[in-house]
Amino acid sequence: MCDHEAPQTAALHTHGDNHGHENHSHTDHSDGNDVSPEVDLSIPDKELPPTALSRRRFLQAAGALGVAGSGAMLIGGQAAAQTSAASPATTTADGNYVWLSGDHHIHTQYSPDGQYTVDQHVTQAKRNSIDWMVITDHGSVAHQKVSVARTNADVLKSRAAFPDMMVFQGLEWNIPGAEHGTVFFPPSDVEVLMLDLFEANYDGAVLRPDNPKADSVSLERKAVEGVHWLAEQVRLKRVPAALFLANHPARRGVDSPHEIRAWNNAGPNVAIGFEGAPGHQAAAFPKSLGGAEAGRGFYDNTPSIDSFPGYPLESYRTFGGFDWMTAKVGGLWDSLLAEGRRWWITVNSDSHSIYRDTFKRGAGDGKYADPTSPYFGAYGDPIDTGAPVSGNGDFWPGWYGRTVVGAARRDYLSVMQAMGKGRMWVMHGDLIKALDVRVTGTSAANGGVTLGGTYLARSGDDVVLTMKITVNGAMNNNGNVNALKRVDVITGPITGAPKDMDVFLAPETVVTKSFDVTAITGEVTLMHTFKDVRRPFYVRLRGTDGRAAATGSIEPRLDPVPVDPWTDLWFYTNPIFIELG
Amino acid sequence: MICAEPSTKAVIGLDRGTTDLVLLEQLVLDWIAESISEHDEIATHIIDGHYVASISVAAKKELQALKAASAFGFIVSGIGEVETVDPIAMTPEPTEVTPTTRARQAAMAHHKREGGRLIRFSGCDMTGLNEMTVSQLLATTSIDEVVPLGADLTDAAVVVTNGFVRPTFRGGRTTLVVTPLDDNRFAPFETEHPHQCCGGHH
Repeated sequence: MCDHEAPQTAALHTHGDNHGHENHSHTDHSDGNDVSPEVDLSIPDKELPPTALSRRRFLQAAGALGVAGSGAMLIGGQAAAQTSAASPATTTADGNYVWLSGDHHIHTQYSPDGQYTVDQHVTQAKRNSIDWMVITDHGSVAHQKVSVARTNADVLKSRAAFPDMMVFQGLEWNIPGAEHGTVFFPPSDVEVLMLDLFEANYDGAVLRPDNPKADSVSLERKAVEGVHWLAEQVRLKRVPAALFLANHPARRGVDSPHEIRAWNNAGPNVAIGFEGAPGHQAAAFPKSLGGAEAGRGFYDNTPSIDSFPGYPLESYRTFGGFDWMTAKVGGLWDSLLAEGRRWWITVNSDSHSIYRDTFKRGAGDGKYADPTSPYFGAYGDPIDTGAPVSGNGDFWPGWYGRTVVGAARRDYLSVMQAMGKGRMWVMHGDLIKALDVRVTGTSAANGGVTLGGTYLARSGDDVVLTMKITVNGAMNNNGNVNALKRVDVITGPITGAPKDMDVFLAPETVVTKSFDVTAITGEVTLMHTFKDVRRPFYVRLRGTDGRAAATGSIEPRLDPVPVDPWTDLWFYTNPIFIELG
Repeated sequence: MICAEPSTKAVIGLDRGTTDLVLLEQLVLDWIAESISEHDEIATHIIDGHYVASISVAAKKELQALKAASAFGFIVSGIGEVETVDPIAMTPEPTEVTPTTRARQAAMAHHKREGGRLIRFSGCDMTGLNEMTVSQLLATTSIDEVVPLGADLTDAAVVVTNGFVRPTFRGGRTTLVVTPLDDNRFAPFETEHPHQCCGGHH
């Protein structure tokens, strides 16, 4: 069970330590993304066949791929580690990876429930030290016919105006028979075509515009076909990469465990994860403060005919802002990890309309789906009312939540490859500044395997987990200087594929150790040794400001309403797998 | 508000083959208003991808209610008071799901008080009050227990109903699940107007 231990060391370190590459004696099995030679910059140009070289040149010109030999972090001649000045920055480089903040779930005036321009979102994201972002308007007939192309024109402008911001264009897919999900590709000459084709053929609202809620085995099959189609486009080299992540997975109970597993099976390199925490984190602010006073994340639903009947009622609510599938130790996410499945979590804004913002939707309200209207698929630019609008539940990208990705280089494709490998951690409220997690043997102080990776140990080995955490000494966007109180090490044995594809429990996954890090400033290094390892397992971390918890427990609290989201902050990491060889 | 009276024994399941909960509730209430005045509890159920209703009526009114519901367009199945043993044990499990079997399953669930969601129940007019203590809810309605998620609850705790309460049948009891608000106050788990993404189209 959980015990508490003071950190072994607490010292200030400088950034930029070179840890060396991951130890080659410890094979990283997590490399689910088979990298085409043209995008593998370790292969020099001269060794590529002409067609692959041509493809590489195109991707480089489009900005989707870095330039070999240019160093880890160069784009447009600017060092990537530079971030906008005053914000608490998480963009750091550790010698192997540049850690880039992002958000893959953002809505604009091209969504029926959105309002902002692409430029407004990019401007705000830039202010919040976001490095990469994905525009994900809702799939629909109008969106497919009109919005994809119009969005692209705006995205191209933003890419030109913000050369050090990676602006992906994606889609919020109405997964047939299930929830929503982010789907996106890197920039290329076919990004609009691919989004168009995918949406036309696989979006639930396009397929069944009159009744997109209808659920059936055939709809579930259609979703799997959609993932398979994405994987095929990568295999056929029509696109260098494609990713799909399920959004707000537990909100309505309609993403069943067997569907999640089926998506991942249909495209392990494409269907890679779900939101560990939903957006709409401002939704629970009280009405007296201009909020919506709804469930945090707008999680306030009940089971319906579309819901998986096995989910408990608590799964329809958030816990410390996080989705039940992630927040529940030994729950659904752990059941996926416990079978050895590579399935990752992210955090996003789901930004539609910003809490206490003064803008309202522009012209065309109510006309989005009207094909005879000039506002079919696109509202006019939002209008500044001059006063805060009540009832909004969102934050700007990066204002509150961020997904921090360890990319090999600062380019679009490297971000996607890092996401595919699970080299990501997530947080709310800029709880910490930087995080370096390694699993090594007892003799290797540096190197080892980081988030998303797989460390190969021998039976009976001692395995060392090292967590270097940089506390955030700066004020976050709520004007608080956060205090990290506790870090939990969560472990579970890898027990193999389940007999029942609807399993969502991993009873052996527990909090193995908790570190009390109260009063730590600067950088702290925590270490934990797993002695005499005899079973394959995984380890993941979470940390909290410790201001809210379930009664009599260290577990996150079911979020009350109203709640100030700045008073209950967590970070979570993706796992590292330890296998026996 | 028409609210249910206890002491009835017959249960009728009502299927219209719908996947629209709001429509089903309206149809049932329209039928009630048109056909019968004496009824007990009305519940909705999720059965085989459909919303199905059930209603308990005075045993002597069962046949009349069955006929009226059928005439109104429902596929019906009834469980009368004459069936004193477990009705499930008396009936072979059907091999395919039909409107009739859905109606029967709804009636069974209501009869066993497991898995339904009540839209009318004894004392439900009291829940039109915006706030009630747990003690008041238990004393004035047929709700047997109030079950909190995510927080401890005392009888003095206040449930902010906002005039909308949908208890459920759980384990033979009528249960109201609540989630925490602030200051020892709670809200029913089911809210009248949950957040609808994209205007409820998705």
